[in-house]
Amino acid sequence: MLLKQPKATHTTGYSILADRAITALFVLIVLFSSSLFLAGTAMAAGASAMTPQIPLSGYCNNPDPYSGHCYAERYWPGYTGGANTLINPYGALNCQGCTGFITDEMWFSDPYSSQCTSTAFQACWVEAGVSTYPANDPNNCIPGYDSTCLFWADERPNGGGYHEHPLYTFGGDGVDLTPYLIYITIANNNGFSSSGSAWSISTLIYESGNLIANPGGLSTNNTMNVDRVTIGSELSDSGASAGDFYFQDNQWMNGSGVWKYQTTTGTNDSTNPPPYGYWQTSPCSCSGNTGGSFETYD
Amino acid sequence: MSRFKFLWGVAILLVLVIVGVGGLTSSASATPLKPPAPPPVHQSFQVSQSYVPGSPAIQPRASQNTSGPAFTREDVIAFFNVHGFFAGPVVPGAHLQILTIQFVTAKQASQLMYGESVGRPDDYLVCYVKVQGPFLLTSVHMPHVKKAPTTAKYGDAAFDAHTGNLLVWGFYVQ
Repeated sequence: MLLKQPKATHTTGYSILADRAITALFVLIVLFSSSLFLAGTAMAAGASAMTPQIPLSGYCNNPDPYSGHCYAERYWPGYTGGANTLINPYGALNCQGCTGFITDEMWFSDPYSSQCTSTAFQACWVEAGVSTYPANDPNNCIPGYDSTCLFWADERPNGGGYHEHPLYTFGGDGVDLTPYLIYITIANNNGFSSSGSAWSISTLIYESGNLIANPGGLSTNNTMNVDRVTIGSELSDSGASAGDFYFQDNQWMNGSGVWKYQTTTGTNDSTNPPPYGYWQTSPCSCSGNTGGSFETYD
Repeated sequence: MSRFKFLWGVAILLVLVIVGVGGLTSSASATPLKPPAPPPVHQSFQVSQSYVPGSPAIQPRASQNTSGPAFTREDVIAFFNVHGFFAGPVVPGAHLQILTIQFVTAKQASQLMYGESVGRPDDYLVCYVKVQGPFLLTSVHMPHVKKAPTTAKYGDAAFDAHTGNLLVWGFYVQ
């Protein structure tokens, strides 16, 4: 009688070897892939200043009730004769098809003196920065096209009104501003006091490490007494978006004409986002302080 | 069974390699290299820094080397008829009125603008234009202020008389 041999339920020597090889290969692959993924994540965190690259757009749900604009900003109160910031962009300002704009800029203002509170805006200021312009805006630095331009403007007391000046053309809407560094300095043109009548607007524009332009302006017959320095982003349209823009080297000038780095985070005067803004590196009274790095994005 | 495991292992391998390499390349493209920013330098301001080209606006007719203006009053009128004023559109029912067009020196234009800088040497020829709206203030940059007007009655602008480029524009609420 032949006994039926049961089916072999154990593996052979060959199959054991193959399974171990597959397992080992599998472990190696997991380790390799993980290292690639982690390396990539670390690069992103290190080089893009550890912020989420979330393409967000829209309009804030509580714009300023008077202007209808949205802001991501910080301001430092206090009398000063000058202020400086470096706008360090990673990405672009986008506002294709907009009727409004999105900016990154610095404001140098007097919101308290009676000569300025009696103006239509209840404040005087000088501002400079990068803005998008709609294609149909005749003040466009590339007529007929959505574009990205550097500008300065002022609102002056004693009937001087608001005036805006073109400074530099970066390109069309959405032009990558990453290669650029834009230094902006606004200061008393005749001394170091917070009171004056002429304010210089100086810029230094670097592209890929090379200084390519230094357009400027002069705000004249502007007798403001400056008591506020503000940095940040202004939004006046629902169709905008923006990359990561960093405000660095934030400085103010004391009464002796000495430039000092900001050492505090200032006051948050933002509306609800967008645009978004936060201190990626806070200014501090500490060694190595360079005025912090305030990031805006939308 | 072994063949099944092998194929399964290869499939997982491919997925993980793709994910790993994808993560590496996407992060690399999202993090452009940038030279370190030089420390800020504060040099004394030179007024010549304010003599910027301006934005292209009115198309010049004549050579820009002539001493006189390179465009006419009619060109200015045509420009505003096509583009409107810089601050924004006129309020519904209103019409843009051009109050004055003057070819004057930069110094004279500055005086007409209550001392606003025109961005040209005093004796440089510019074209000063004053208009009336009222205008909706849709193109105005401003800080986060306590009050902001929505319309302005008057506006003005100065163009480079030789290039037709816009040098400055502004408005007055009253």
